[in-house]
Amino acid sequence: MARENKVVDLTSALSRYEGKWVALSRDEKKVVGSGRTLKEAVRVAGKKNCKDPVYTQVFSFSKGLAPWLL
Amino acid sequence: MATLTIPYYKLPYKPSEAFPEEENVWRPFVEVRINNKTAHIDCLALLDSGADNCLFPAEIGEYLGVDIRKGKTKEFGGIGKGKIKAYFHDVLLRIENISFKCCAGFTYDRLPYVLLGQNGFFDQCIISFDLPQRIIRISVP
Repeated sequence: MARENKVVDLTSALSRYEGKWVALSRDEKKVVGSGRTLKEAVRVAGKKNCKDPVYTQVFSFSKGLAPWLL
Repeated sequence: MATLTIPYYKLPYKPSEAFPEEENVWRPFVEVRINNKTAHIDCLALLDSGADNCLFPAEIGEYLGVDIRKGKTKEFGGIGKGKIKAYFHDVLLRIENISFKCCAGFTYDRLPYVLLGQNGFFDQCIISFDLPQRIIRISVP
């Protein structure tokens, strides 16, 4: 877990994954799996034997986030 | 009272006409473990004070083995078009060493992130957003 009260900077790690599900390493510094679906990201991360990755969707880089305006 | 201090997350973003200097965005995420009786998954969740409930993509529920469509339903709308339908199930959320019981909605409609909202999360803690310092404090009585 990246819990050292420092900023968690994912700008570089996520830059190639817009619109995808990604699995992040436990330290949240690198992507260890990705896919169009969560299932695919889980499968790819599993192949790399990454224990308990942290999953997230990567929202559009060109849209601001407002409730439900997707 | 236990207090967690959590950093903001810096994410990639493309400059817009209105904000041409904006090349990244700060969002209030927290790493949360979502548990049901037999499985768990670790996710980044957006602390969304504007959401009435906690809402998760159906894919999360499927991963956990939740029989999603057996849940009681609630519809949601917002500032955009349309509505979404969520199926509610009890889960246990864990952030660091603190657990929260939560009745969360799973939806097959489009969600940008796992959302932690008012009922099911904000009603169990006191949250302060300090964007200038890039930190969030979550205090649990």
